[in-house]
Amino acid sequence: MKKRTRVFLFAAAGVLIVALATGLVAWATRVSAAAATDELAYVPATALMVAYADVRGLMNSPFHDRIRQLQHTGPAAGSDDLEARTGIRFDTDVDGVLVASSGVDALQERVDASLLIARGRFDGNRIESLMRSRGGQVDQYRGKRIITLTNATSDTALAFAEPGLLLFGPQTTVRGALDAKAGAAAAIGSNSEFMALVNDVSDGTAWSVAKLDSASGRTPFPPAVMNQLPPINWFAASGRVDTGLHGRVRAEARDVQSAESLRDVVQGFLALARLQGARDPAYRSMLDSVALTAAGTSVSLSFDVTPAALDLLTPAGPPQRGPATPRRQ
Amino acid sequence: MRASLLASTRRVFELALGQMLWARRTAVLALAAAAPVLLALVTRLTLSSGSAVVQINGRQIGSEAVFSTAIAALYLRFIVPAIGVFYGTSLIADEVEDRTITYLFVRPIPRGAIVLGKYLAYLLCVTSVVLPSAAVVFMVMVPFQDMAPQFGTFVRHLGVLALGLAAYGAVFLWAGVLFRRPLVGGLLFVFGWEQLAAVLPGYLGRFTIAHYLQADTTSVAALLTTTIAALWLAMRTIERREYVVER
Repeated sequence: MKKRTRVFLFAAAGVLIVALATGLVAWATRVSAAAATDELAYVPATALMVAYADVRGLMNSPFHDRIRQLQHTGPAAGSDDLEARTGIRFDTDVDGVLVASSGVDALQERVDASLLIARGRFDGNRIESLMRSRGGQVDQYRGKRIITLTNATSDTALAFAEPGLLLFGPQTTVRGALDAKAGAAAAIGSNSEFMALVNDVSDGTAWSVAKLDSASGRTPFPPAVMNQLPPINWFAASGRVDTGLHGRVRAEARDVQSAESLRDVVQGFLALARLQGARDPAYRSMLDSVALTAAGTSVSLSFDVTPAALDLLTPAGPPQRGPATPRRQ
Repeated sequence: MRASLLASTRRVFELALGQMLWARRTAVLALAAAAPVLLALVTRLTLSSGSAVVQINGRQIGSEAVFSTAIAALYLRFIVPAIGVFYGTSLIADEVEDRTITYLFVRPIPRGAIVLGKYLAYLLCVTSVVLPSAAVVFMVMVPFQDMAPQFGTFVRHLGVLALGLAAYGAVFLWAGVLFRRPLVGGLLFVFGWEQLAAVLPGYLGRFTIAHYLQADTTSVAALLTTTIAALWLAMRTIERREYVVER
């Protein structure tokens, strides 16, 4: 082989290696960033569904302001109830929420209540005194303070896992989360398949990943719901919120045939929606943004709710310029 | 004494690779590979400056989506089939046309080694031009912060490009071994039949290579099977066929 041929081949391989290395560095950085997320470190490997919402990002987004205008409502329903029980004001105290569920026992149809991990600014003394006043017991587990509220109707525990990080859920679930963090039980980070999907969607303001495979005898949704779903192994969804909403839903079907069936079903629904919404410019623009793709066993659907579409949905039309809504710091 | 298939293949490969890389045809190949890079640079600069946006159905498309479109529309639909036809058909047919096939046939090597060696040289030559070109397009089009979610797709695209080049090359190599002037038929197949079958309803699309240029198990298996089968048929045909060299 001549020298110039060798030089050419090395140069070509060099370009390829540089591109692959750059992509790999970007990917690895992202993986380690996701794996380092404190919230995920508390999620046990048995979780079948994980959902996350960047509450601060959502609340501060222009999209949220527009939705509030659209609904003409005050604070979200139920937030007062949460404040009364725990002293936590959802819209001002919470920065991010992660919910993890180990699913439903398919045979016993017993729902395992979810673990809720909240990051924000919490008044520990106030929360503790409120729970104590309702009969809560303070305990220590793995060096963390746990307040448990156990009676005939409730089995709730709240742990101050880190400064600004709360774990909330049934006692066993909260203790399991502390075990996962301490390394005494496997955390979700060890499930590479799950984490690959998390990494795929975690750039969204809100995202969710669910394993729908019932091989383990457990499912993230009740069997009645599962029976209505097409054969899907994994489901992932993410939404990025700025002035509009950019959503992406991805399903991993069991095989190519199931993926094709699923795509056909979704296409049918989209056709029906287009027929129904053809006369309404707001819905038509949203439906025009819907892109459905299928590759192998994967079926993806993306959509945009643009500010223009929101203007059309708002009865009064585009908002008048006025004083901006105060932003949370 | 006849040399072994492996040793003969290696000898033909080394000889063919040097000829192929520095031939005039490679300049055309380099131009084909450079065009998407230039296009990517212009698109990225335009998108970055904000002087233009790419929209489909009123929906703004980011640079990473433009990258996927470039791979699908430019590389898989045009560059890969075109390279496969031009190179694949010429590997043996040009030797026959130039009346140099005799010099290869009189060497004490299996005829199959000529086909295999030339094919491997073709594969290395075209992948060393097309894959780096796609890699540069990826680096230009996709910002570093958006690379992570696109990386898997990029690697799959590279695999599909390599498999596409291998499959088209093998099929048209076989055509070059079978027919005296296979280029016209090859062009008709790629830019006629494959385009037509893609829009026709039913199962006709399955009788094209383009249908399998996807990163799923069935498609990869189909491309590998096509490549191996076409290569085997080309080797078998050249071993048995009598070539009449025109004077």
